Amino acid sequence: MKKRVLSMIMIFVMLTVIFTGCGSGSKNKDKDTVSEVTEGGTRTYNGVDISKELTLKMYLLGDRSKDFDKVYTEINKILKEKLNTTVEIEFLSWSEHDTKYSLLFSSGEEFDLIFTASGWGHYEATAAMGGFYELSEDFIKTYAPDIWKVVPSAAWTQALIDGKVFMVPNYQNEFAVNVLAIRGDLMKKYGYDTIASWDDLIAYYGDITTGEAGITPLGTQGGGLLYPFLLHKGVDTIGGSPSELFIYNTLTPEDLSITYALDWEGFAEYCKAVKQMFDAGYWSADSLATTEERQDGLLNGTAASMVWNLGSCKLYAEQANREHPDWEVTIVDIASDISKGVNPYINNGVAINAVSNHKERAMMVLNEFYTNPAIYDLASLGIEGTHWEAVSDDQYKLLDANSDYGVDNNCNWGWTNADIRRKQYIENPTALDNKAQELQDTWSKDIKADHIYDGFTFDNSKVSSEIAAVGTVITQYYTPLMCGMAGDVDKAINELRTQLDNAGIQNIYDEIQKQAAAFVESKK
Amino acid sequence: MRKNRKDSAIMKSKNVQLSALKESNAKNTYTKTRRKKQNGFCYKLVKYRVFLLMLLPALLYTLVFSYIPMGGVILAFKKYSYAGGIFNSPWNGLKNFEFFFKSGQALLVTKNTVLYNLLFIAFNTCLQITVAVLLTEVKNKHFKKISQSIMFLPYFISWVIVSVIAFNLLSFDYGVINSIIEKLGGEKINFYTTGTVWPIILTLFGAWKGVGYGSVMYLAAIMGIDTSIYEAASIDGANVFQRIFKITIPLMMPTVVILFLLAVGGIFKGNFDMFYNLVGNNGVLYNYTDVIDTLTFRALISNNDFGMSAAAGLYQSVLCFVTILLVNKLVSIYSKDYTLF
Amino acid sequence: MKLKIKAASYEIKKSSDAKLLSFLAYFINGVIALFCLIPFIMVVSASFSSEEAIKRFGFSLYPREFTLEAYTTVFKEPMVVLRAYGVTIVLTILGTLAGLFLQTMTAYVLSRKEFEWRNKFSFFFYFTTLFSGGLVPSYILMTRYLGLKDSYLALFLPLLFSVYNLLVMKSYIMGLPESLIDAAKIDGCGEFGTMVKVVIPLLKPAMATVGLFIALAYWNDWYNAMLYIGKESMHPLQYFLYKQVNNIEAYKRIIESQQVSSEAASAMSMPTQSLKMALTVVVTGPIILLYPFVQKYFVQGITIGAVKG
Repeated sequence: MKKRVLSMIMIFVMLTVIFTGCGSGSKNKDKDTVSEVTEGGTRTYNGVDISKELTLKMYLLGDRSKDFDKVYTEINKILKEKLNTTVEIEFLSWSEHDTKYSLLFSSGEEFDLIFTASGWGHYEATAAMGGFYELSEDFIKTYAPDIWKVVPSAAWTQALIDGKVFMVPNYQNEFAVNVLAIRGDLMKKYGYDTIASWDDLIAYYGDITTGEAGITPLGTQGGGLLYPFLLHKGVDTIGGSPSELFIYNTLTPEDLSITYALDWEGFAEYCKAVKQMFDAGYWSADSLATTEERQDGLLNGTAASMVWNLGSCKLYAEQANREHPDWEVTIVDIASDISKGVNPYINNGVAINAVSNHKERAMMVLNEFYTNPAIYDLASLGIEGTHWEAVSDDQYKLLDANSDYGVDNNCNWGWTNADIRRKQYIENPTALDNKAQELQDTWSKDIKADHIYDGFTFDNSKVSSEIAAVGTVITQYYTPLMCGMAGDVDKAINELRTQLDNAGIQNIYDEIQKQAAAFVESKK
Repeated sequence: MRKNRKDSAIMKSKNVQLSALKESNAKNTYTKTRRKKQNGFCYKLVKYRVFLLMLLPALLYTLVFSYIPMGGVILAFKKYSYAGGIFNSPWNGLKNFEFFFKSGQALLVTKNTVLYNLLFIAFNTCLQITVAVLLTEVKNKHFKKISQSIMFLPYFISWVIVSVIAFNLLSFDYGVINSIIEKLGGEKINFYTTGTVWPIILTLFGAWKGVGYGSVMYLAAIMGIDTSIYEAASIDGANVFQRIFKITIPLMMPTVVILFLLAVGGIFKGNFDMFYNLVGNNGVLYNYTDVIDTLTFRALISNNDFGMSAAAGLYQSVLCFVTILLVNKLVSIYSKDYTLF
Repeated sequence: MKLKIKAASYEIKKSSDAKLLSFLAYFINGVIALFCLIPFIMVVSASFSSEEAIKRFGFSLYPREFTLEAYTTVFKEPMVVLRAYGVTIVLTILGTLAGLFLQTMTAYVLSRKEFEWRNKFSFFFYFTTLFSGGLVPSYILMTRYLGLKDSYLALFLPLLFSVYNLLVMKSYIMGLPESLIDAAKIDGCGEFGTMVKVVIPLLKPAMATVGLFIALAYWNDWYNAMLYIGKESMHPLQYFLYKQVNNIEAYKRIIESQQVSSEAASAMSMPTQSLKMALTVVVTGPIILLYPFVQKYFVQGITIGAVKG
């Protein structure tokens, strides 16, 4: 009903616009835009006709913050003036996006833009079922020329599915490193100046277990060491493949082999190591069932460390230090001798709905979100003077009202653009700030050489039954091994191998190798 | 239903009148419709017009909200795509069923699902009937009302929160139960790695959550029993236990059987919320706690494949359907009145 | 003399039986009620405890480090919560009345022995509980063909008719003595009249029970709100609870994927344990108060003598 009324209004508005030769005669403040009203009464922008006033619908993930609508009113003002368009935002809350994301496409609902991400953000699954509109190079260049300038070609490569691009990836170089936030006071107590390698860490953990009552090294986060271990061994997982079952040597670009994890010697080594650690009490027997989050143990004093990415570790280390200054929580990188790569760009992105009626305009709007500094700042930080204030051209300071909007808190990640992103201005950096900055700088100086598989994402829709069958095996036989809780290691590995074989892991392996070979071929 | 033969004299005379009335009616209709077939469809349509009119809203509702969407079961045999939708996506044969049998767990989870459901049905039915019968024996009005209300409380606590409570009880490091065991000088039990205790844990939690809700059904059935029967029984010298076992429980039977049949109709469907929240991703326990629904969920978490979920659902539905037809048949041999359909 | 003694001993025997039964009734129900009460007390006290205390000590039977913080968070914007209460209450009342009428009427027809097709129709209804087309077709039907997205009808309709309640209701009606219905027939009542004048008054406990179940279904429904209602102002109360409580589940799954950027990870605000508990209390409270009204109908069993011929 409402839709009908809306569309009537839209038609009416359109007609009036057409007959009156477009009423909006406002002058653009932007000097460099190419928006013009020609004699015939049509408005164009970069040569594209925008005389039709449109409202586009965009879906984001998460929950609407308190000042969200205020901020987007401001954004719409700019968009209206520039592109004769406004956006209407709907949210899929965290608790429901798994169910609703696919339903939106099934029901053929009319919307234009949607946040997407590789893996957890449904990118591969939706693209495989034909939910997204294919973004050809021409299309991008025509309607989003600025995006084309900003996004590196590696990002477009990562976004390929079956040779086609379906999302605009975000652009930021976030390091794909799992670091640890560690209790500094305990490091001092047991005589560690620094912890910079896997062995240092294990030794430190040993001291904690023997010396500290009531504190375990990792609390209830058994299995957290897997990624640091993989990093320390210089291997990475193939994007889009199940769990961590297929790996390649990320540090040697000339090595094009893809290894099945169970055939890799590091696998048994890791399983045995964590089995020993678990038996020695490095983490709680409740690890598989815990209702705790990663940071809980560190924050409430039952764990001596936590594993996560740099941003999150820093966030919780700060919180721990605020509540317990004597803990002196710091951040360590246990693979300090290894050059780091950046996260895939497709970890955040925006896609256009295949059934959208305004794909071109949607792309133009996305172009503004991505590259127009005024809109970018609004979406990421809120309203200047209310939520934040500018410090020089590329920094910001938070104001009190900021909690009503947050920083990068409103699913604006799909158009993260490192070129125009403001950094937080820190007046008096703490030891922790310095440490985090130091790590960042060290990594930036020594970015690992590109491996061709860094940009390869496995399209698993061809072997979906096997992927599903493997999915049923993972939690039961693989996860306990990763926490050292599967009993006898050799027996458990054999059991896992049998189960995976039955589930058809060989077919998946063959398909991965086939696709990888084709991918390498296409890049020559 | 065993007819209660303690009708008053007035009733008996009514019955006589009624049979006379019925006969004369039959004669009338017979003479009217001699040319029509007595049991023709159209004749019955007219005869049952009031019944059918009263059924109409429910029939329409069910058609629209249940039967029209039921067409979606064909998704089980299709490779679903958004553009093709339900009807135009390409056929896929039995491929959607593959993952389930490939997982190597098909038999185990099917067995688990059925055994758990049987366990739950048996335990909950006994518990709820006991509670309902005993509640009617409680004379103190306040105790009765308050205890009944309290029993309803767990129903409102969502499984997510129940899982937190369970973790507080069962945790190895600081769980209430293990703390008590330690104080008594016993050996701590690691509940989250010991699969064998889980059937008991799950049954107890399920019973705890459903006891208030379930016993209301039986309570209502007891309230529907004609009290004059009790009076007659106590005059005949039956003691209280005889009264319960000889009168109350037999007269509750229609309700008990219907609820039993309804539960049997879902015997291949696991209570996903409960299993998922209490067991979660704790793979060590899966041999004892994995049911069809949790297995399907894990299989499809990475790609929300409608075809495969429809296939798993169809597998369950068909098994439930066969089972309920059988059980319903068995019940109908015993008594026509107790059947579901 | 002999007779008297016999009678006396019989009296004693009877009373000792009765005493035993009475003791069992109090004891067993008391124990079960206690088991049901304790966890709920834990939930309530956790809602009044500080988050640190919960993390440190787990749950307890009394609030530790008493604070109202969780409740101030829940009622930070009281209008939102009150409106959600309003939506839920109105929906529950209307839904229960309409659903109860529809289900009773249908159950009455299906329970009439002289209606030859009753089992066929029972099967027609029951079949829908076995086979369903799944989420996709229902969603498409509701949104595309019925146009119920962001409409209160989307919350009202799906729960209006439950086959489970229908069959339970039918079993209760089957339990009524047939002679009553026959008597009404003689008095010249039509089918509908018989149902309204004779059956419904006798069905009070059953109506109360089924009504309670329908009310609970409406009260506890977050699923339809999740599927069909995008506007925050139209959300029922239970959906707030669901969103908060289940965020953590979604969060865990996202974090497991290892591919999540740090912005997305930190944007997922986790509800504190105490907030979850407070929401549970807020959502549960009013419906618990409704229960005594229902209990009123669980009084005496019916007596046939009470029905005037």
